Amino acid sequence: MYSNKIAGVVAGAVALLLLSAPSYADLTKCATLIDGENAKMQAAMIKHFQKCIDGYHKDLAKVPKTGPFTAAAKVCDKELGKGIGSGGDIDKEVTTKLIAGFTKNTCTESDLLALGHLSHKLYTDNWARLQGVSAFHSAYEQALAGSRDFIQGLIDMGKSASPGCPNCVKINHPLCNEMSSVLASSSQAVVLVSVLNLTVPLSGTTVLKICDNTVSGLVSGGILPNIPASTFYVLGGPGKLLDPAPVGNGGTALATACTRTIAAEGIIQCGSAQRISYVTCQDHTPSTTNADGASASGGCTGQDSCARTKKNSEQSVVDPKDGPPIAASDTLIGGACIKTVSTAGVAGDGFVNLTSQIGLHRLVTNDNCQNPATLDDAGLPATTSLTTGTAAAKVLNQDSEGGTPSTNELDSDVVTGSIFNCATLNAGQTKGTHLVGAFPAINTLQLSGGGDFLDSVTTFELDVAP
Amino acid sequence: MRPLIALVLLLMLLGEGAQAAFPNEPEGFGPLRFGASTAALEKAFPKAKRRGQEEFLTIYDLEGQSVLGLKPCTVELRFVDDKFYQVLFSCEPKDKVARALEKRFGPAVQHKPDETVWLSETHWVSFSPQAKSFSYTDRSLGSLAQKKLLGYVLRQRAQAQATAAVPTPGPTP
Repeated sequence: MYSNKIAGVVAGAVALLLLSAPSYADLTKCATLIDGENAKMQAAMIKHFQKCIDGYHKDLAKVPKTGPFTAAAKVCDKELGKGIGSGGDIDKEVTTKLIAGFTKNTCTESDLLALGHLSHKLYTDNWARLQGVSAFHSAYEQALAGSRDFIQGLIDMGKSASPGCPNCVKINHPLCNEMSSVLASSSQAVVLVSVLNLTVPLSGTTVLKICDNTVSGLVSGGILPNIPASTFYVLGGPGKLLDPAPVGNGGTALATACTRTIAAEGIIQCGSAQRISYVTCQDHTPSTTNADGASASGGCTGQDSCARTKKNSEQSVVDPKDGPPIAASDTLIGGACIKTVSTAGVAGDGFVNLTSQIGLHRLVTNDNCQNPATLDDAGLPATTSLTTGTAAAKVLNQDSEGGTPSTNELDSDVVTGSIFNCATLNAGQTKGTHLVGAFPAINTLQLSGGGDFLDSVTTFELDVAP
Repeated sequence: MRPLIALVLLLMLLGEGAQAAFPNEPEGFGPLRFGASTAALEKAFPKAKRRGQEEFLTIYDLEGQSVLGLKPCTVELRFVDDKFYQVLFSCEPKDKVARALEKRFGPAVQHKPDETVWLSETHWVSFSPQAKSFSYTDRSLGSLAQKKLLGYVLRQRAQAQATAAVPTPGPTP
């Protein structure tokens, strides 16, 4: 009989699948590269914006002989060109550092996914271009926070006498619109274990920023270079999909579990589009081992990629000084596998990685887990992939009710998403969006009566309220 | 549409054989290494107070500790399935915490609004600039804890929903 002591450390966290394709190049180097370049692009744009603002204020104080804001416009147009032009700071960093970093293997596909970025295999260089958009938007927000008349300045300089500031006109609308997406009552997670089916309503909001490089067609050719036409990027902000939950009994709770969405990165294709559907599979007790990146793990065959099998004893990392490993059995646990299918999509198909954390907080706060000053633990981040296609999960040789491996297969329903509405996206709304995701989990769910941890498959359906 | 080879959706990082990726990666707290049992904790830190246990999770508190030259520190030690996976620190003086972490672990890998992070494939060091607290986590065991926590939270929500749906009996005639 399986006990909770052999609970699986099969990769994975809060949400998803867990693979580790071939291997991680060096996660730290990849994270440093991406975050470092993002910060560098932000800093460069802040500097350019500041020079624009300074020039504008100078011209406000004293009108140039050549006409209102003409001196500032000339300086600002040049500065912005250095930042957003072809070969400018953002284009250069994205191309020569981020995309080149992937080519040089500083970042691998596995690194990108582990860090919550878009898949290179599915969406090529969009993961890097999204960083450029993200950096630009962050700098833009900071410029706005620092100077309330930033946009008015861009408008005034854009209207100044020839040659004016064409680049000011390009960016006098925000590239990204922030939308607080309230989940509809139809949003739910369904957790299926061998003996029961738990349906959990999801409520709350997630803040999504939808970024349109053409600002709804106002900017011919786009603001930033080399971004595919009719492509929207999705950036995330803090949000909440599950209410705070006490861990333990009411007044004697050990802690409060705060589940927060902390970031999102995604893509919506409103021109040429692909639809991504996936099935995740994990064999609880494979008879043979497999390496990372294999096309099969136990009974999960014909996969795109599987994580390697592990022995139960590998999960016991107890210091030898503390005694023998807890798990005596060397039964294999299968690696999680993923099989994706990409089909021709339609305008509005998309894919979003939501990164969440479950923090355990000693203080049972009354602030609904929203006050950073009281959030002393963020928890490890985990990414859930959501698609407008379909998603399903299965566990082979699942635990039976008593925790004993069986030959039974545990299958989730196939959940089906629906496309974003490109017309309403242009108007800055995500209403009606229906995104879905699924993942398997081995030995992680204990029923309320106690006992063994059982296998489960979970599907997520997120509906944005109309 | 060309066939896609592999989409890996997620998350956890496999730790075996990984090289240290940032200086002085923490292997635990003091003599207590990640993966150690609660019995080992009680032996190493007899003054640790057991806050309680809930299913897979056990938490201990320890007062008056010194960490990275900071003191006094309140320390919270967490165990999943009786394996030490995370330690959380709240230290004084709070304004010196960020500097102490940088001195110990070098420049942070990620700077987010609510969190500063040092990460490798095996370990995770997180600092909350607002709360001024920080934690060391074993990624493999930490991920197991997160998965179990998610299952726990979802189950609680489902049960609460089911309880709310049960009609209250009417008054006895």
